[in-house]
Amino acid sequence: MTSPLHSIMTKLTAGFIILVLVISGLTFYFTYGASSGKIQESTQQELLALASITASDLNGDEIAKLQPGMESEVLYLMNVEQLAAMAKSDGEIVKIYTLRKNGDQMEYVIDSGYNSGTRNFRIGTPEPNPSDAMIRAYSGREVEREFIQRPWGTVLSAYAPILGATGKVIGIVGVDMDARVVQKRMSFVGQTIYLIMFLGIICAGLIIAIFSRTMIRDIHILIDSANRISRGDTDVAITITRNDEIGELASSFKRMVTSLKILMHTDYKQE
Amino acid sequence: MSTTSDAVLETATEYLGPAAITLLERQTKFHMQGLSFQDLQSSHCTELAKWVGIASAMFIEQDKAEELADKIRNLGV
Repeated sequence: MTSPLHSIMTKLTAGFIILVLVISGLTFYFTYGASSGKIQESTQQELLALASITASDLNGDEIAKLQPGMESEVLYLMNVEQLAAMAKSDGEIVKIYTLRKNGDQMEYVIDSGYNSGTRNFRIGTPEPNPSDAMIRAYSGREVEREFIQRPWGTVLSAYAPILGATGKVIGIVGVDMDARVVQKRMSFVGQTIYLIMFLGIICAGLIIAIFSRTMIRDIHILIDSANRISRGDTDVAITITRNDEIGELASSFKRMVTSLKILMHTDYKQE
Repeated sequence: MSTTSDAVLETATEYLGPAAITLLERQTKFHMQGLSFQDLQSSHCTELAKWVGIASAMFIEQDKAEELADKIRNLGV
């Protein structure tokens, strides 16, 4: 009896699974990076679009009037509500805020979380390390290429300029998405590829097991028949009907057995 | 060996293997008035087919034996 380790079925199954693993691995290697990059890019575009819409909805001249200490005034609270509503419309947005230049520095003006217990700054709170994208956003909408660390978490940010009635840039609006959301989207690709690999291996294993099972069964029939004949028992019936190589082997085997039967038959022995 | 003998042997070997010659020689010798298989002519095929059908059924399936008999019979046509 052939041991499972040396069985054709084991070898075929192992070979097929290795093949699936190699193909899946190569697919993963060549597609994961590109797919993740595309997902990050599309997330950046989504943030840019939201930043642009928010900026176009804001009244730049009103924002220019807001000065430190005016947080309880209707003008401020209305703008806070407007930003909060925009942030709420997309559940994956952590915060929307506005910034403006104050001399050489940049300072925060409106915080979408001001009324919801997630306030991080007041009017005039300086941004200690304005990024290049923030500064460039005065000229046009911009997005951070990498995640950045903010007091409210690690985020991916996009900015758009806020215009006054005369078309002058009053400040910028920033839209922050939690980095975990972006990473989750990116890891979805990897997880999907892993899932496909897993399903591919299971399917490959099942297919090869089913195919090889009938093949091995027929080989065992031939082995059993050969063993019986080798012990002098020619009364064997080989019922294998296949159109492949094993079927051909079975036909040859049948002819051989028939010849043995004829030669061992009493009538023919006397010849 | 006649052309017909060759053709019959080739056909029978497909079903009976190398012992086909033994079976055929026995059929012609005992059932066809001692005819030598080597001297088989196409006119003998119908008679030979009958006996081959009966004899080979002892060693192969009935339907295969009939199939072989039909083929031998057709060689005489």
